Amino acid sequence: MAFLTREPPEGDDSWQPRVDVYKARDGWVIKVDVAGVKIEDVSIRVSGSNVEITGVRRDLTVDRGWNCYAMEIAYNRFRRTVELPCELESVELSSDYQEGMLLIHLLCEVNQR
Amino acid sequence: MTDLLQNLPVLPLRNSVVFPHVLMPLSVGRQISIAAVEAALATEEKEIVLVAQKNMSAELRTQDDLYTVGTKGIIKKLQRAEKRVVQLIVQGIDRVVLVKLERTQPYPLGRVRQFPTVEQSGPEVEALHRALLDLLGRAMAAAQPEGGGLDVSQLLGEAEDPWRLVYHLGSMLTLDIKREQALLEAPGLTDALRLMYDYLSYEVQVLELRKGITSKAQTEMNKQQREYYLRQQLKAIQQELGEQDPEQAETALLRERFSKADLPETAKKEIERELSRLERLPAMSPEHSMLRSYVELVLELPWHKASEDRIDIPFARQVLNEDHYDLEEIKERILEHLGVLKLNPEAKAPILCFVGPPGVGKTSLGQSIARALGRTFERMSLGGMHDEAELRGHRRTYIGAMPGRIIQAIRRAGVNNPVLMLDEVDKLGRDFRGDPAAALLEILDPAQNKEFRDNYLEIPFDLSRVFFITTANTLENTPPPLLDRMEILHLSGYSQEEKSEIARRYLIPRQVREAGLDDEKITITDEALQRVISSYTREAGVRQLERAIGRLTRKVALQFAEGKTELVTVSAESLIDLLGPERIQAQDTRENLPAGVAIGLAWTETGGDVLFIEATLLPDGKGLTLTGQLGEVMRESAQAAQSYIWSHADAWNIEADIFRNSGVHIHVPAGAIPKDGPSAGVTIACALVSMYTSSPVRPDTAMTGEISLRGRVLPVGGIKEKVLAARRAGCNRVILPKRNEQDLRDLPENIRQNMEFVLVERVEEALENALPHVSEELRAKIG
Repeated sequence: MAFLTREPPEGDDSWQPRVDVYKARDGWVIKVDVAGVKIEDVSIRVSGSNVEITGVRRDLTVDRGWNCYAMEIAYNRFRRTVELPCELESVELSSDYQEGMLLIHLLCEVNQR
Repeated sequence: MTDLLQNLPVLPLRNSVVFPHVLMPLSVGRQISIAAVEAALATEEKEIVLVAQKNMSAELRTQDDLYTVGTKGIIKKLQRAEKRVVQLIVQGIDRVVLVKLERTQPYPLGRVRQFPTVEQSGPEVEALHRALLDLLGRAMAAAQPEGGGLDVSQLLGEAEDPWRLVYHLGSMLTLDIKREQALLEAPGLTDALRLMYDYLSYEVQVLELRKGITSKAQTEMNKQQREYYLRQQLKAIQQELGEQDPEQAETALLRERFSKADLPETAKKEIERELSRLERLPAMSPEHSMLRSYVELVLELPWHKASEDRIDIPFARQVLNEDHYDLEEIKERILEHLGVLKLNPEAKAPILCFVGPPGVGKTSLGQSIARALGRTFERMSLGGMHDEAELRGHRRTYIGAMPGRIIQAIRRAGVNNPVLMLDEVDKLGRDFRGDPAAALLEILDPAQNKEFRDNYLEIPFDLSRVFFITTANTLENTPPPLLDRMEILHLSGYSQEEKSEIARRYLIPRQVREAGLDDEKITITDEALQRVISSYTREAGVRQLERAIGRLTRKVALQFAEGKTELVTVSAESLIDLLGPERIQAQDTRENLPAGVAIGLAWTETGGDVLFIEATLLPDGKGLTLTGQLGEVMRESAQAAQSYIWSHADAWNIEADIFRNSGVHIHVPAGAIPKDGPSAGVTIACALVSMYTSSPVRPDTAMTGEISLRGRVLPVGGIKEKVLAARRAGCNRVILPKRNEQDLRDLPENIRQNMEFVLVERVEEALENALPHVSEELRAKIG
C-alpha cells in the first residue's frame, strides 16, 4: 500500500560517516572517513562498549560565491556510534587526523570474546 | 536556544508537508524556490525552512499565503534533472514557527524560531502509543492480506520513539495537506498521537472496507467467470482436437444450408437477420433454441419446391378405378379437374369437399387423387379443433410457439403443391380462442391463400398450388361461407351389391394378406359374404364389414397356426361358429304390419335407415300427441298430415266423428334418437289413414316425401341412401315423390332393376299404392 512504500528513513537525522575498525596488538583502531571536517569540530565519547563520534562538516567553499550545481556530500552534523566487543571503561584514547581520515586509538587489554 | 531567532531561506511547498526526522525527496521548479535552495546551499549548514503553502496553485506573495508552522531541514543531496527542475533530498530536523517572512524576492527569507513543544508524558502517552501500535498492526494486516512482503521491523524500529512514529506514519499515509499540517502543528505528543490515531483508524477502516469489497466482488465475479473460463477452455480443447463447438457447428450448418436454400427475398432478409442474432446469442439462452427452430423451419419449407404434375388422364382414370369401385360421378369430376389442369397449369387448384357417411372411402379417395396426380399426400384432421392458432400458429413471442398445422403439413410434405386433405371439416369447434373456420376461410380462398401468413412464420407463404380436399359427414354444421368456397361432392352409402363387390375387390384380399393367409388357404363363399353384409353389419360404408372380414380371416389364421393345412371355405353356415350369432335381425320379417303402422325412410349421417311410424287412436282423448324425439319440422309435418286427412276424411270413408271424439298418438321409434325433417309427411299420412280405416299398409312398401296441406307430394333429399336402406330392410317397393325421379339414376343398376319405384305427385296416389284394401274398397265404391 502506498503509505508503506516510501522507504522509512534510518536512525538519526544526522549523517553517518563510514568507518573501518581494526584490531591492533595493543587495542583497537577506528578509522573514520570525515574528509573536510575540521579536527576541532569532532568530539569522541566512550561509554560502555560504545564509541560515539559526533561533529559537524562545514562547507569549505561557501565563501567562494559559487553556485551549487549538484550536491552529494553530506554537510552539517554527523553522528556515528561504533560498538566494540569489550568494555572500554578504563581505556586510553588518542586520535590522529591524516588526509581527511580520523584514526582513533583505543589502548586496552585485548581480552576479546 | 528556544527563543533563538534565525533567518533562513524558505522553501514553499505546494502539496506536501515535511515532518521532522523524515527524509523527504522534493522536486523544485519555481524560480524563487530554486533560489531559496541555492541560498541554503551557500551556507555551511545547508539549512532551509520547509513551509506548506495554503493555496496549492497560487504564487507566493505574502506571509499569509504560508502556514505559520514549518520544518527546518537540511539539504542532503541535490541533483539537477533537467532544466529548471532541481531534485532534493531533505532531512527534516525540527519544527519551527515562521515569525516573519522578510521578503519573497529573489528568494523567500523567513525569520523563524523553534516550535514551542508542550511537554507531555505519562500514562496517557503510553496508552495512546500502544493503541497506535495495535492499530498499525491491523492496518498492515488489512493492507497485506497475505502477510508478506513488507519489512515491518523498519517501522517498529521507529516505534520506540512516539514522535518519530507519528511523523513517519504522517509521511507514509496518504493524508491531505490540511491533515498533515494539523499533525505538524500538534502542540504536544498527546495531541500528535491522538491525531495520528484518528487518521490511522480512518485509514484502517478504508482498507478493511476495500478488502471486503474486493473479496466480495471477487466471489461474485468468480461464479460468472468460472463458467465463462470453463467454456473458453472447452472451446480451446475442442479446437485443439479439431472439433467445433457443437452450437457453433450447428449455427454454421444452418448458415451453410441458408446459403444453399432457395428462399424468396422476404424470407432471405428475415433469416439473414435471425442468423446473425443466433450467432451472437449464447447457446444457453432460451432464445437460442427458439431462434434455431424458427430458422430450421424456414429453411425446410418448400418455398419453390414443387413436385411435377403428371397429368395423364388415362392413367388417372386407371388409378381411380383401381382404388375405388363405382363412385362414377366423383371420379368424373376429379378427371374434369385434371383435364383443366392439363390445359391450364396455372389454374387454381380446386377445393373439393367430400361429404358422406363414414367408411365410404373419402380419405382413400384423396389418396387416390394424389396418386393419380403424382403429388404428395398429406392429411390432417380438423375434428375437435377449436383454436384458430392451431391452424395459423402462435406468434413467436410466446414460449413454445409453433407454426400452425397447415404450415407443418406443408413442411412434412416437402413440396408446395401437395394434396392436402382436411378431414372432418364439419367437426370444427369454436370457442373464445377464436373460430378456426374463419381461419380456414382464408386458407381455402384461392384469391387469398397466395399470401398465407402464419403467425409463427410471419413470412407469407404461397398456398395457392396446394390441392385442398376437405371431408365431412354432414354439411349441416359447416359454416356457409366455408361451403361457398368448396366444391361439394356427395358420396352416398353403398348398396349390398356394391359392398359385396368392394369386399371382393379390396377388403377380402387386404384382410387375407394381413392375416398372413392366401387364396389357397381361405375362400369366402358369396352366400357367406352376403350374410356378413346383411346380418353382421349395418352401415352405409364398409368399415364394419372390413372388421368383420378381418375377424373371419384371423379365426382362420388361428386354425392354420394350430396345424390346419387344407383350404378353409367360409360358408354361410360356418359364420355362426366364426363370428357368433347374427348381430342384425333382418327387419323384413314383419310379414304383416298392423293397421296404423307405415314404413318411412330416413337419411342419417351414417347412411339411410327405415323408420316404423306408429299411430294409434286414443278414445275419449284429444288432439295430437307426438313422441320419439321429433324435431319441430317433423311435428309440423305430422300436423299437416293429420289436417289433410281430417279435411279429406270423406274421400277415405272415415267417419268425421272419430276426429272429434278421439285423440291420436304418433310415435316414431327408436325413441332415443332425435329425428327431424319434413320427409316423413307421406309416411305419417299413410299411418294415419291406415289407423282410421283399420287396414294395414303393404309390408313391402317403404315411402318418403314431404306433403303440403293441399295434398301435393314434394321432393326430398337423400334418395339413394333411403332406397338402399329400404332395400337393406327388405322393402322392395318404395314410394317416392315424382320430382325425385332423376335421383334414381344414382342407384346401381341392379337395384333399379330389382326394386319397384312408385313415383307420386299427390298424397292420394301414395295412399292408393300403400293401402291396397282401402283403394280396392274405394274403387269398388266408385265403381
